[in-house]
Amino acid sequence: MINKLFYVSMTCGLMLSVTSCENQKFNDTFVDVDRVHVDTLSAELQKVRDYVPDLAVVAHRGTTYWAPEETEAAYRWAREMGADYLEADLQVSKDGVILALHDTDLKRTTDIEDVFGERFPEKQRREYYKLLGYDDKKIETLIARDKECFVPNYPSSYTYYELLMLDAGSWFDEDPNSMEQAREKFKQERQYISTLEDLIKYSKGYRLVRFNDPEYAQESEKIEYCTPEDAQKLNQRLVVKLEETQDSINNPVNISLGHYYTMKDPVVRYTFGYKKDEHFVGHVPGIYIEFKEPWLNPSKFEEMVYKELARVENMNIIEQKEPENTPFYKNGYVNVGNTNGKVILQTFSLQSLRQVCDQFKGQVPMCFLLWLGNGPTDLSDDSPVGYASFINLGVQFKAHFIGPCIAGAPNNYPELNKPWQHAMIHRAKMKNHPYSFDSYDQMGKYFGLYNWGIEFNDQENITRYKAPYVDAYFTNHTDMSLQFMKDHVDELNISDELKATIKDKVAVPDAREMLDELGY
Amino acid sequence: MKHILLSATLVASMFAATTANAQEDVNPLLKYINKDNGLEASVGGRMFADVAYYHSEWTPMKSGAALTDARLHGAFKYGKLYLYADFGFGNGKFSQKNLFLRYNFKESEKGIHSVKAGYYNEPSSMAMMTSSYNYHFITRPSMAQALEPGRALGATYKFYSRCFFADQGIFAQMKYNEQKDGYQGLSLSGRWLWKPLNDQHTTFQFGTGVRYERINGGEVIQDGVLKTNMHIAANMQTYVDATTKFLSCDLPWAKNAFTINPEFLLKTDRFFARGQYSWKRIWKDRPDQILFESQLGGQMSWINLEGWRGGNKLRETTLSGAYVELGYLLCGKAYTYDDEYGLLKGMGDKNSLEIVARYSYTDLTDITKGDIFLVGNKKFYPNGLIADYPYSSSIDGGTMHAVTLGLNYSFNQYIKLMAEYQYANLSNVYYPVDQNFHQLQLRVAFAF
Repeated sequence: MINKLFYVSMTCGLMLSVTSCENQKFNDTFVDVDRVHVDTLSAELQKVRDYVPDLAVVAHRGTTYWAPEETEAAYRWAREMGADYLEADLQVSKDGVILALHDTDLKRTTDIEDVFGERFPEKQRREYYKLLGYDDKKIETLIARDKECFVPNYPSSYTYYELLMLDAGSWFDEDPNSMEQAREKFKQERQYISTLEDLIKYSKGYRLVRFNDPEYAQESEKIEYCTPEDAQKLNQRLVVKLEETQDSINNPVNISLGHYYTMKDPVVRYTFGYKKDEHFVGHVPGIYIEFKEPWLNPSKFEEMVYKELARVENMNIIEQKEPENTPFYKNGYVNVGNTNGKVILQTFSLQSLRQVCDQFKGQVPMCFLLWLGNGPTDLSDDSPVGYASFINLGVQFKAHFIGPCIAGAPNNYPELNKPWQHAMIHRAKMKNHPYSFDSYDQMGKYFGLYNWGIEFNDQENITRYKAPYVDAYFTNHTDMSLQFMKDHVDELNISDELKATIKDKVAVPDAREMLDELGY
Repeated sequence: MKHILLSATLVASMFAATTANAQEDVNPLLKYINKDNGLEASVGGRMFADVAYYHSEWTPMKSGAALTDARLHGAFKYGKLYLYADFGFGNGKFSQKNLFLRYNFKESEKGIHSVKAGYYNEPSSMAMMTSSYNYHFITRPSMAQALEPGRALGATYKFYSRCFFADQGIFAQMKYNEQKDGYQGLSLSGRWLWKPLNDQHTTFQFGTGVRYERINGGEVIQDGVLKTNMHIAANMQTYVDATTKFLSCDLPWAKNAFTINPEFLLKTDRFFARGQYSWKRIWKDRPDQILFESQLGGQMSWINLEGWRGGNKLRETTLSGAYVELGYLLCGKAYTYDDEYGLLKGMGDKNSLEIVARYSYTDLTDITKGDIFLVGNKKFYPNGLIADYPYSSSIDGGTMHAVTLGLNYSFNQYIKLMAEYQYANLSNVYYPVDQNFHQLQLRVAFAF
């Protein structure tokens, strides 16, 4: 009897195993993506998310294609082309000036190798300390200390006074990747490492006061940081004064002294000359600023940025809000810079994400950027489970947007903006700000021209995901991106209201003609 | 007189076991015996075919059928010398299995002394020493696969008697000296048992296995830096889909490891109970000074050794596991015990039927208190704070608790059928949504 039971059970088990083959199972992203849990933004955070217009065009570093990145030329061009945001990376000089600068090594985008080489800029540092009014004894002490913690080519090793001596434009004309867009004017009219204040001023329609402008001569007070001949030859910018403030920073370069937490560098306030740009047609974009990893910047850097935004042009909406009904566009011109969406914060850094949350408390739009890799800040698991964990991290630390990298030439970044990933971001009630669009092909792909990501359901004959797979996007080609949207607006799966907004925008100028017009 | 007779009977039976079975699964069908010259030779083989159905919550396992083991072996006995060799060709691949020579240099009523050399199981684990054919479950418990040694090239000295068992030896880290760089490491393994009760009907034994391992072989990753690694892995107690992804971890810079495996066995004619606990500690060694110096010179370099160590934490790792197995013979001849190996033998009688149950846990998790894990980048962070640096040195190779119920039937000692149901509960931060696993397995096994 027992033996018979055993045979029966074995037969049943065998049949079950065989029939299991009819029910194949494998990891199906399209199934998993709906099963995985994602947290959702609160209603309060969704309100802040909606401070930012849909399909906003973010001018990545102004442009990396048409002009030297993150300089006056790049930002003026992007503004006049009609970008919704001017994008920048934030670092800090040794004397506490917040910079709009991407690289942590000054060699690629400046002529630092010709100006300072690898040596400590002792002569310029002495001049600088004298301008601050220090006596000889103090200067000697400070010079000895500064030498000890000097890290060549690292922005935080140099005062902004020294950074003013660097040319941030000429490299663009000589670099094989950009020399086809070279312009003599990028060399002839000195392009500077921008400050955060510069960026804000550019967004508001300003430009720098330069030596050959009448305003330069009218200004009685000015800092002579180069010879009058050089100032004239390079049409250099006006620096009205510099003065030491009561604030100080824990400069990351001081860590080499071994007493990072006890020795601080004083923050020096520079007063620059700005004037209304004669080519300003009325676009007022917002700014989209990136916090790098905290260990690259002073402690409490988020607080410094918070204060600077409050100080310059009322850019800190926590301190001073704009009326909620302020339109994103006025008469076809960008007006984002006058709305509560005037500033978007962004970071790749997991630590900055938390620190920005602590400082801004989710009251300023914030984007959590994603990169696929194995570095300290990277997403390494782009499956639904891994992707959801980073979205949840964003929600936890009150980010309103996810900023994934996109595939495609010329950068060939990894793909983190697949249709299901876009959908998952929306499930979290966040919005999607992918980067960076450099080609028409990429626009076509993510805006739905190529049927990418379309999956037909046989029974219901409906698509699973719907393009566009972007809610706003970073681009180095503001001209191409804006024109693409205008050309294809009727094909896009967007609201009628948004279609009307795009159609109502003023015509997109020609990129080269705009550079000519701006004097480059 | 009665005691003397009993002792003599037991020693005789031990000799018989040595002669007939040794590492072989069954009494070989193909045998050559030359009594005049005291020579015996045999050849044999075995095959396992498994069918399995799996149900998991998120990450699928591949249900289906597989030829999970196929072997041929040969044995040769001449006087007190015994030579054994077997080779596997399961999964379509040739693999080296046992290959050893044993010499019984002293045989008396007090016990048997032997030395053995070659490639065979390190003697520190009851589960790993037991032949798969003689095992009462389709697989050994995961904890044994993960934490206890398998075969290695080495030499041992063994003594066993009715009351005691001692087997110990030295082994090489790799059998073909195949480490990429560096000299080989070694291990010292031993298993010691006391049998307060051991007669024809009942055996009760307990003791422990111990193993020390030193890892020397590794890979040179830069001048002056030899990187060692210990890979620890186990399947989900199944071979049809023998994936080890749910239970595995790498321990870079592992240098020394110590494992202790206390065990017990109770066997009666109709019932057996056995269990084992395993505790493993791994110490690591990394040339911090060289690695620190080699990263100097960059803008973002650590500028002192202490800081570098803070950002590249390394600490010892402790892993553990245990199992308890129970069996009851519903019909067939009594369970038997193997004195030579200190192990329960397989069920081999004609038309035998047994019911078995096992609980096992495998803990490959060593997470520092307060650490949190981010699955999107597979990193642990200390003090509950996700940051860019530093990472934690926590390890999570998964923790599994599994309950297995089985029914085994033997037509005779050469053909067996096995059926099992298993529920396993997994906790592994790398697979956060995979918790409950169900599996049904069937095996047809034959040996000759």
